[in-house]
Amino acid sequence: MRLLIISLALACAVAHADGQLRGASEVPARLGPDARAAIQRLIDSARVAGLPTAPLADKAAEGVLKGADDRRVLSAVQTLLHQLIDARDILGRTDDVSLLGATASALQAGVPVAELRRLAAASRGSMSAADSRALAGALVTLVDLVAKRVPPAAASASIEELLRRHATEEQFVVLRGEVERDILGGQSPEAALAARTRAQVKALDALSPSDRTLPRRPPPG
Amino acid sequence: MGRSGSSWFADAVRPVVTRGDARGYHPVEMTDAVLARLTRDGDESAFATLVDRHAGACLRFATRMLGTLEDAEEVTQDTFWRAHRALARYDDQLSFRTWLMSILINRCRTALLHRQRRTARVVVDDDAVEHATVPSTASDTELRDALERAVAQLEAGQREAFLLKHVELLSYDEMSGATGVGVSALKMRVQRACERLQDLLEDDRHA
Amino acid sequence: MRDPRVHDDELPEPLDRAVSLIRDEPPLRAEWRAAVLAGLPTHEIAPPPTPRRQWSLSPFAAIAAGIVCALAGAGATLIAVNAHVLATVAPLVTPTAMASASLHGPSSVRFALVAPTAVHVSIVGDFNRWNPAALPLKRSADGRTWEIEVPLLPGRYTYAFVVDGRLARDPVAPEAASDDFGIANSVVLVKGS
Repeated sequence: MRLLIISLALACAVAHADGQLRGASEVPARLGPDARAAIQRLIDSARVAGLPTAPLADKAAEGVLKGADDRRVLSAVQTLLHQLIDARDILGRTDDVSLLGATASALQAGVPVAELRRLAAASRGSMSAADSRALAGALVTLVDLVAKRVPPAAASASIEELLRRHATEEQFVVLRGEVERDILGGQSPEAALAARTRAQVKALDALSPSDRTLPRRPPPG
Repeated sequence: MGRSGSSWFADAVRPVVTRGDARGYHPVEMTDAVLARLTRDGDESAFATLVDRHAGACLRFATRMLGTLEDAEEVTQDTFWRAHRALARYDDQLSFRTWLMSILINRCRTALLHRQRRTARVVVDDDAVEHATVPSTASDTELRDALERAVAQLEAGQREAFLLKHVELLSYDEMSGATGVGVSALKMRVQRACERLQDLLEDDRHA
Repeated sequence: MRDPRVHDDELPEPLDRAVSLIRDEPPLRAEWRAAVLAGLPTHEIAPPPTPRRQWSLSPFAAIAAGIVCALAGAGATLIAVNAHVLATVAPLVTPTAMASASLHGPSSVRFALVAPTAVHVSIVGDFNRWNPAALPLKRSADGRTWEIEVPLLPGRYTYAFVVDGRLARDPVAPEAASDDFGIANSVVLVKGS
């Protein structure tokens, strides 16, 4: 019986590991040979350019699953490659695949390049891991807000305000959830965002710098 | 003047004498930046000169984005009014035309969005044809018409990028500034537009 | 199929000739010009307003998505978002990343969907190469909720559920940007510790 449990557990572990097929950049077999070759060339270009290749293979797989024809899939992969190139130009040299992906997604959503440069600059402290995560969270939130019909200019102004105050990734998650609930409760998207942003800004401003990072100074004497 | 190498063509063909009211005349050596400053200081004839210099290009772009001269005149007029209101924010370091085009591009996008399901069609404007340079051969006319038809069929993002690159002759950096789209994505759009146009012209030849 | 390499600035020949024919500017109609100048305010230019960002959500994305939807619908196998399915889903806690196993190792992320009438639910996304067979969800004890825990390395993933053969967004997760394929995905950001 114990053996059965152990082997089941192992099987589950293997299944989970199998579930996360990253690293390999295989192009789906269901595409025609021309499309597959073209996509492979795009993947090779990405590799040569020092850009992540897995997102391109993922995009191709996604297209196949969604029933798009070869031309559409190739077009989407090509578009993504160009978005990644532009994302890296906006962010500066970075290996952070999540950040590149989030930036590419923002470009896809129509956020102007100048706007994204501003947001990237607003989050730049030491460009620590925490800053990168905050920016990635901010961009994911921005794209979501736009999808919820918050006017894009208002959404991005809000995000920028919070980034400038060093809002964390968690705070963006909270903001998104609150705004969503307010919208479901009948508020206009823009009003909901404005109110929740004000509240977060107030909370962030209330934290004086010494509360945040500096260790306590010993009293004199 | 802040314009990149590929724009020399546009500079070369811009008329020296402005059309219309002679009171709007300023020597062509007076740069757009200077005219903008004069306008800010209250010289309305300076703005008239800016209109004369740039309206043609704006109408050229807008006509092909929206399909009719009438719609193009409406958005171009709106663009100049907005530009006039926003002159205080115009940064002398930028090319005035690029700045103006960025306003126009937005106006065109909004107009297309509000257009509902109307397909853009190019109406051959008789007046425009009469005043334009007369093509040297009949086949030129056909080619021109075929291209106009083909451009009208491009998807809006590709059409916009193609016109900015190959008709308005902006650099990719200028285009990125004016459209908000990344340089790489723009290059892709232009490339696709060219491919599609070639296909459409091919089909047209065989039709 | 053409090779999607990026071209340089030159136009290929037949196109080059044709484009040179369309570079002339339309004439300025006198009445139009007069109307533009007459419409300008006569008072002094207003002082610069507080910076106001103005950009419209790309209408081209919307148009393109519409075209894609039409095309995708023609050759569809597994596509339509089932509004009925979404209606049965109640908001749940956003996918939670549990305490990570190690500094750089995977975190266990729980995904869940309320779909009481579904027969089969799986999850597809960047983490399993969009393979609908790879990660089936299990029905919980109450019979209404389907769930799975997926070990994920820190990163950003887009994903969706497949409910009885139809794709559905995760209603509690942020939406990804409007899709090339006409169907929006959900996004999860998994942090390292």
